[in-house]
Amino acid sequence: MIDVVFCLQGTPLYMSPELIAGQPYTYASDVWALGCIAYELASGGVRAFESDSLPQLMCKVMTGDYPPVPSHFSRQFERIVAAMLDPDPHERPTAGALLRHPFVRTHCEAWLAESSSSSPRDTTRGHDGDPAETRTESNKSNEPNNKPAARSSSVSPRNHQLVLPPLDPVAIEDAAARASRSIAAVARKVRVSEASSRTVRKKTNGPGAAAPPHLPLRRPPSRVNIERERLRAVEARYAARQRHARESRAAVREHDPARIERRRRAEEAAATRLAEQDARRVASAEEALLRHRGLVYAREGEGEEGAEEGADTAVQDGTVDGDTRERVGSVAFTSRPLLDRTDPGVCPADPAEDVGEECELEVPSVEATAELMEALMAEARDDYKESKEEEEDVEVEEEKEEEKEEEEPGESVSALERELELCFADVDERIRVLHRLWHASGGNRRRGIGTAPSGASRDASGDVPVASASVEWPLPPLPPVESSSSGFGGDMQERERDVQLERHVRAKLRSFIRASVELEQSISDSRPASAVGNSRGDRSSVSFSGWATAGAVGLLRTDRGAEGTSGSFDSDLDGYVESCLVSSDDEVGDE
Amino acid sequence: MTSASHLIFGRRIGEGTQGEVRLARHATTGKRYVVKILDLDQDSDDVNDTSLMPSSNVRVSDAKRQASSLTDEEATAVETEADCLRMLSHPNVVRCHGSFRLDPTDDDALSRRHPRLCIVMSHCEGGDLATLLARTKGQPLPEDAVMRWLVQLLLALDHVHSKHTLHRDLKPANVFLSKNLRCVKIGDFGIAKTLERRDDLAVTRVVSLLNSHSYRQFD
Repeated sequence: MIDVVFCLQGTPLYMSPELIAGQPYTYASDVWALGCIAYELASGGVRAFESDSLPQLMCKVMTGDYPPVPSHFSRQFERIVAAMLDPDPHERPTAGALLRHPFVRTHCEAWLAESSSSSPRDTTRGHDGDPAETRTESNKSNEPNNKPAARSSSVSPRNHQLVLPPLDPVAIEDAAARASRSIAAVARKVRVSEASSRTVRKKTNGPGAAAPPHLPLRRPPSRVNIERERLRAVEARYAARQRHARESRAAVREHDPARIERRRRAEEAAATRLAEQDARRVASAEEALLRHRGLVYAREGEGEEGAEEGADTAVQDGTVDGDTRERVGSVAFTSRPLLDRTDPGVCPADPAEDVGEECELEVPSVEATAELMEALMAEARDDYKESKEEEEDVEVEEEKEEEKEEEEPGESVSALERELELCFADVDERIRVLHRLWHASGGNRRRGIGTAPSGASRDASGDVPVASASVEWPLPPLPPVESSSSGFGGDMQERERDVQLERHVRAKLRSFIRASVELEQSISDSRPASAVGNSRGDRSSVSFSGWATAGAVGLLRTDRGAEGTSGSFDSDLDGYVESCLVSSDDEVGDE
Repeated sequence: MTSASHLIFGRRIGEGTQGEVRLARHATTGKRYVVKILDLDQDSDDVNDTSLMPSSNVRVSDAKRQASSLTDEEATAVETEADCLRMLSHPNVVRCHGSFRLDPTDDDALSRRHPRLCIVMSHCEGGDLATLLARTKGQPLPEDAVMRWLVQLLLALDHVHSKHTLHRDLKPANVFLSKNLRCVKIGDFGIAKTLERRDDLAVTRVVSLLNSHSYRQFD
């Protein structure tokens, strides 16, 4: 500990990471300090680890975070410095190991050759032993010094060769010449700077005499070219290194969890946006369908029967009696949340005008309607298919009871359902199926069975809250309550009927979906009672949300206002749905 | 080189925490040496020496200064260490030529009343590396020159390590240059430590000597 404290007093700039960590000083710590010196020499005085505050400095040292060596240094030099500044003391090579590195060795041999044959210009040399001898001795004694860990350093793979290959003498000489030239250049530079800093300088003669012998070596022009070539190569290497560092940084960023999370969120947002767009498109298509139907009926009212109405006429003539018409007028759906969009205030007073407007604005196409219905029914069908077997059992029983009770004509409801499922492609076909289904289920005769979803559905006035009108949902022009007196009565009735048929089918499908959902729930919960409760809670809010149609409500209200029917078709429908649910729940519960 | 009688003390070229560094000339051969002179007793009369410190990186409080004077026991340790450093004979290590005690009556040039310890070392005319780097600040040195110096430092460090000694205070200020800048030497083994065995790396009490010296070029 005294060690560390002492070093903190002295020079923390050259403290190795293990010293900061409180470990004792080792040979590797000296190597670290030497690495710092080498870096400082290379950078011309910039320290490898320098900071204003001690903690910051320690952090830099611990992480080995030092700026790169100047670009004109070779990669080998850079690697040697990096090896000496390895944060792990066991990975740091020893001085002996570094001396066996080929690159260092070339320079080492060069210096030894020069120093052994040097002129006695250096006054401090000569009284010590022969450098080469010292070196061999140090290499010998170095063997036990090398820890195994140090051998596995980044430089050590080249150190395995204990018998060193003979180095190229030309290279050594070249290195020696270059080194002496470089040092002479440094000496000159230092002398110049010194001379500029000190006006009076006594000893300029001594070093000045030593410099001239090296000056001619710098003269040859080829030397300049070689230098330029080398510089260019070094620049290229540096650029490549920088690029590589950039790429690795980018790779690291790519794997940044925060970044991934952000991207994922953006994708989710995009998906949500798309889903919203889809929903809006479906909604608008639905509207278009309703408008289209209104248009069709409006045309019909003028006396001509459109080609599209061919299927409807079959239904119109007699199959739907007056009795039925009396019952259509429920406002049961008005209590449903999505129908709150219906704003009576927006409804124009004159339906004829609005229908006309709609004609001008939008020309409804058969394809659009078909597409719409496809979209509407697709999920219902899917759900239906999933729970087909259970549902069918329930439904068939239900329908059979009804048939016995009412002796209605024709087809069983389950068969109709299948037909419905198969024939959705064609709008006309679909409408026909709707009619038949409506008749087969005999909704109007199921009065008194089951209950309406809630008391609110019995909203006597049929007023829909204005406040809840949705702005972003452009409402179709709804024929208001007074429309029956405007000369469209018969058409309106037909229209109502169609709308109600459609609604009926929707309710049917809803019941399927709901039943299947409840089945799943009750199976998963194995608690039928709570499952029913859940389903009922959900029903008013969730599962119906996509199904209600604003236009239908408007038509219904119209109808009720015109005919003053007291019975509730919708309550019957709901009762039917309810009974389906209850029965299915019961079955599940019995199981 | 074991007594002050051989040396003629010259001007002071540096000041450390526990003493000063003076230039000296051998009386007979005329060779120049650098002598570290360490105070062996506590003495407070050098408080005003703080202003004389030539190096900016030597900032020691008075308390530290007083506490860091050497006792006799420590002086003995220093002497043994100096002897130890004499074993380090390498062209790239500042050679320690000897050490001796300087009694107050020995020399008038060092007019102190208390005994002092002198360590005689080789003198490097080129100054230290920190000074050189300060002069060439901002300009990266050529790779060949750097490699030459680095090779010498590696050789020196290898030698020092082979003698089971840790330098423990390597820094540019402790690397000295010959006059023509060709040769570098590691110096200032003030806190160097010789290990008993090769694997003895335990932390022991540091006999701290002039750790933050700044050598200046003579003349």
